[in-house]
Amino acid sequence: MSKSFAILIMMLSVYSISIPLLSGIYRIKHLTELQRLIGLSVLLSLGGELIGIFLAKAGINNLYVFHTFTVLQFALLTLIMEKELVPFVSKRTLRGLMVGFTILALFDAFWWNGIENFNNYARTISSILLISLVILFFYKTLQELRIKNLEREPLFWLSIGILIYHSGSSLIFLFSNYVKTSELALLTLWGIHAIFNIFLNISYAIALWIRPAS
Amino acid sequence: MDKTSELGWPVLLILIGILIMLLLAIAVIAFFLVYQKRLFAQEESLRAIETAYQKELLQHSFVTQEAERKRIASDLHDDLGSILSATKIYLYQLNQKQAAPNYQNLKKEATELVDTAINQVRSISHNLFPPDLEHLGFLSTIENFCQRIQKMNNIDLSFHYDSIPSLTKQQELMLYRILQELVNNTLKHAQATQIKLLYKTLPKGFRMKYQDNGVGFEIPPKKNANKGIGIKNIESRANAINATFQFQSTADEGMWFTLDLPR
Repeated sequence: MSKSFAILIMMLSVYSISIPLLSGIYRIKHLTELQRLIGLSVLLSLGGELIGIFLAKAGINNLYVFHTFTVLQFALLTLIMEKELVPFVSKRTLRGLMVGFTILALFDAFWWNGIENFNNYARTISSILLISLVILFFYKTLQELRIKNLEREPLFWLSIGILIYHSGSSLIFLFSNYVKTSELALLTLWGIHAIFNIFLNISYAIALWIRPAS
Repeated sequence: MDKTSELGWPVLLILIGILIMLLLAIAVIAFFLVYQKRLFAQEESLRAIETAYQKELLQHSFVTQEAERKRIASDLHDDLGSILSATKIYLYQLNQKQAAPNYQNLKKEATELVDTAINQVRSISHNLFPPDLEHLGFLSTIENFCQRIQKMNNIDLSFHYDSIPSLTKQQELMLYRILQELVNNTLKHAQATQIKLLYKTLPKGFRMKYQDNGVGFEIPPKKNANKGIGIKNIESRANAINATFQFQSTADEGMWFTLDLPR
């Protein structure tokens, strides 16, 4: 991946948050409770991006924003999955997962990586846990055979986005702190991450756009 | 310097890893979609079989009902009708003057015919709804039935029960009919010398166990449209009271039947 192309993709990735945002705004009156939570997740991503850009422009280290963002995003996505997974998975287990992950992210922020470095451990673990929750959702859907029109199920689109994004990005998160060979290597990895992020935002947009089957 | 050497092998390995992870994710999604579609198709076909089977059962109950009506009509017309016709002839002859010499005989014959007609009416009504159920209650009716079968068929029929939960009239009648069907099957086909009948109250409801020591039979698979009429009769009656049942049979070792009626 050339440097200029990587930068272009990363720029597009930042702006791609506007797709689910516009989708959510257009359908705001018809959003279900689950879709509203997905919308909240989009707003959280937008907030993270804006604060990150603002701090970067001001010449302030913005990485601690990602520490907070990771915890909040994980909690919100788990809460969204909870809507569908309970009682297949107990509410207590899912809440325990949220608390456990928050403690782990705090360790990453204050002991392992430090608040001013990229939280690669917390991001990788968050990816693994979210992939597991999506697979659990798929398993439960196959067990119950309740959802017939998957294309009209917001959580299905969100799950596809999470699965593709986190499967592709988890290795980038895990090794990003160790790749110091060249600027091009880093740009390539984060360029690929940007492609996954665009895909994630498109799946968010579809999840907000569709009218769920009653 | 080419791109590969510029990126370095560790980054290339990461890229390969990402590609593998991505392919795995796509494979999971594809598997999920295909499997979900297949399961739905399977469920759909099972539902179709179930519907066809229910239709068949319904059809069967109509056929049974018609056969029952035909039998009652034949009982009324062939037996009761002919008895009453004969009685009418006797009464006509009694009214004639020439009947005087054998008047007593004719009167006796006519009375006997009326008695036969009364018995015939009783028998028909008994077949429609056993009056014992109304007057004696469920257990006594079953006991009487067992005694009657023992006397008439030279078979050892033992009936045991602990306690019986209170049953509705519909449940009592269906249980009685199911027992009749089972006993009929045993007498007709099983060549059995012994029947054991047990009624039990379980925490979840009522259980009936029936066993004979006959030749046994091949149990048709569930939801099989080619079941015998007897089994279909039992099934439609069990369905009517939401009871579940199970047949077990071993060649030359007889047959076991268990019915569970939930509270």
